[in-house]
Amino acid sequence: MAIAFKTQESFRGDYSFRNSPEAVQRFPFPFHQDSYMYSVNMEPHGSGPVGSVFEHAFDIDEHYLAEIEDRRITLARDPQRCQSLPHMIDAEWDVVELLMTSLAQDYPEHFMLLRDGSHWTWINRPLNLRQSFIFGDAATLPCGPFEYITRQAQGDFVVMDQRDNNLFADCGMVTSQADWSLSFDLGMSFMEWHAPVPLAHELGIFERALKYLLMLQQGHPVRRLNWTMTVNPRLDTAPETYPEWGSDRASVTPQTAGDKVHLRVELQTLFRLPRSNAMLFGIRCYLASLAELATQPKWAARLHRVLNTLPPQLAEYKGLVRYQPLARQWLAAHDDGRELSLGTQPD
Amino acid sequence: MKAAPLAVVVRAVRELGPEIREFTLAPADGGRFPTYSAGSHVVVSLPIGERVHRNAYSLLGDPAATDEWRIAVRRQSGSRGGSQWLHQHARPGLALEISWPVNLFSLVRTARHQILVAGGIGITPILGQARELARLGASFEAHYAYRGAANAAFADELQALAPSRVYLRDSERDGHLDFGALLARRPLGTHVYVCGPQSMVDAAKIAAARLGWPPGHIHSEQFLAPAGGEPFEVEMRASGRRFTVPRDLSLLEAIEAQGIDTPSLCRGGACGQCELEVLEADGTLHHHDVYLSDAERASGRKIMPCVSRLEGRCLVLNH
Amino acid sequence: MLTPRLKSQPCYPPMEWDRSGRQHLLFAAGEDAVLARRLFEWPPLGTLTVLSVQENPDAPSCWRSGLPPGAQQRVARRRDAALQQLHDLLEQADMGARLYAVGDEDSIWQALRIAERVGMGAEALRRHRIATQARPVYCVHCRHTTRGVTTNVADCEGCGRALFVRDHFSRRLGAYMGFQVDAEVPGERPEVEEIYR
Repeated sequence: MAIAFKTQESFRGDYSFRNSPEAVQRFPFPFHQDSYMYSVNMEPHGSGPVGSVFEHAFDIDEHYLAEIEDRRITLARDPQRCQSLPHMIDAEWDVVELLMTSLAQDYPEHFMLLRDGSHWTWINRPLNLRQSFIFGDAATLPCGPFEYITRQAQGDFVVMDQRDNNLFADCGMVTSQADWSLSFDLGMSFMEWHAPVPLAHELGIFERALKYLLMLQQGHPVRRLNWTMTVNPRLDTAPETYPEWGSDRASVTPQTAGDKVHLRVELQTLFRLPRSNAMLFGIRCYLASLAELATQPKWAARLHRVLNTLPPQLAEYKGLVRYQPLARQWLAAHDDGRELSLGTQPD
Repeated sequence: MKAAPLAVVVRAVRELGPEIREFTLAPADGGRFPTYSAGSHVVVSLPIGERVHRNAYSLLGDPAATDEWRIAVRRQSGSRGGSQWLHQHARPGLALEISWPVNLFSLVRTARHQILVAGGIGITPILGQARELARLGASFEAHYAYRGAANAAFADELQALAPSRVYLRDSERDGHLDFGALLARRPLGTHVYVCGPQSMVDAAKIAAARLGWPPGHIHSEQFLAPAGGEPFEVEMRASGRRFTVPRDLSLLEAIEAQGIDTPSLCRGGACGQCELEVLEADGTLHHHDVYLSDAERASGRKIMPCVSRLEGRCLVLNH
Repeated sequence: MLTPRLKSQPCYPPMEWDRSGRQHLLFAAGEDAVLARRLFEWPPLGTLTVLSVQENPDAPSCWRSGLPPGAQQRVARRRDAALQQLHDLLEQADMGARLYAVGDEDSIWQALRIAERVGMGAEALRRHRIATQARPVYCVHCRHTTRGVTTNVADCEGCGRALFVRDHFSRRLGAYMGFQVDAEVPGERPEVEEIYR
């Protein structure tokens, strides 16, 4: 079934981004209970419920065209949002294969992949692209293989080299990040790039996660959800452009909180890559304003309670502190204190 | 999480020496195999008598050839019978179940120079690694030591991959490889990969240490075969199930034979995935793995069931 | 934004020889007589080369006296010349080599970056910070690295922005991250404190 792509939507300037009711329905609301703490919440990622964001390996939704355009703008302004260390070339081709085969298989109305030995032809109908190339020969693509395909997929991607019983972020396309810098973090090990996250290290979260991921097998990807909040539906909340979006945090008022404050959920997926033995880390970003979330009453009430009980270090780290009281105030009107069912599904 | 096995069929058998056979496997449904990275192995389920043994074999072919996979098996006397069984029973048309490829012996992509060393049947992962390095145009050399020209399986294929970088050695004629000489005066950024008998791996590590190599630059793979031993009782505390681990099954295989789900991966004592907690041990734990630390072994609270056993009466596991 | 020491932030335990090594290369950018005496008292097996940065070659230096017999000694008057010499020495070294980088944080990581480019892994590298705790700071906005920063907030030499100096450290860049301190409310800044002296 073909997706109705929005065509005039923006994640900057006039911020015309809006979710359709269907998009709100399938939003990956992350809170199972009324308070939040970190956990190694990884689970198998395969085929999920039909219509959900978990149904396919890589989710495409109504915002596809707008997100691809936003990525194009960000890269034009700052090409270093996409970098790949030289030894990652095999991994880049692994990513090309994984993304192209998945998208063509899961969205046949929109993508097609024809293969004749190493002669491939990739068709991307929404973007009106047709590219013939030789798999393994970078000269037959208009840019590096990893950059080429990730310019056509929603969400950020980091490719990690596995060596020395560790994972290293040696390649990435990062234009919709929640405030971390690829230029700074490129080449860091798993523990190093997670260094700024408060509390989780003491809980042993990252040690367990690393051990688990080192044994990740081909054909058995996993996923988890992560979350933060953003003022305005802005994808490019990078440290690099902080001077552009930082003041948004101080711009929220009781009247605008419902429309400006967004819950930002990352669907993080991890795939073992076959040729390189590296690992693809997909970070797919979903935004929904408080007002949009409130169309599902349970979600607004639950988010209210999560924000009320959020440890201060987490609020600080997630950058919420300035507008947290306003968000809580706005959500309070949607929380009558009733008991909410466990789990994330709307009531 | 247990991986769903791949159904394969033996397509061809090739004699490569008095004790060495190559088996070519194809997908049973006529489809394609996934591709893989050099150094990967698959675990083959072998229905020996009434039991299922699982042995690991390196994939030695070209990963781009997704219509077939190649493994090679040396017939070992005094083993649990896996290699014997394959030599006896594996003929074109035989159906088998294998795991997805797993790589615990992968190349370090940031190395400036790679030295591959194969001893005997250890040529199998080394051949795959040489192929990958040749394809990448990386700086490398490969050394292959075998006992007698008749046992030089795949020497031609290795040589053809990179004619000027392959060194063959018949240990019967020329003696053992001198690791002291091989590893001396090597530039920074060199990594070494050794696959062969325990004595060869030990010799490499000792020579490297003597020359001051940091241990992380010496990589080795050995498929530790689960040692047999006297039967012993096991109690699984969670379900209350009690059963005997027979002489010729590993603890892990015995648990699986009971239909009990338990994680595993390399099945050779190296990866740590199958680790179980010991609640009580009436006897002596014999650890044959390379994963647990000395302290963990001494604590008596952990065991790697794929290769380790109890010598005694009863082992109680928290599972 | 106060944080306890981050996992990316390097630590500097007291330096000891790695006695499993066979070629020991000590790079020193700064004086530490106590350290030098302790290290030279019981040198490791194998070869030892001490490469020190000394602006005035006539002045005494703890790295040029009391060396163990057989130790090789080199001096460079400027740090960049010393780093070039280090690179050349490492290209000639073999897998038994170990690098010991002694100095301020900036000098240490410039030396270690050269070592990593030559193919040395973390196992073969040791470091000892002396003298100042001044930091090199990488501005995430203009990507310039400002050296010798001793305060929690510092002006970027590249773009002029006032940067908050984080504890998040990149070994590849050899610098701490800096980002605009008042991006949310212009002019709203913490007290400037000299905390990395």
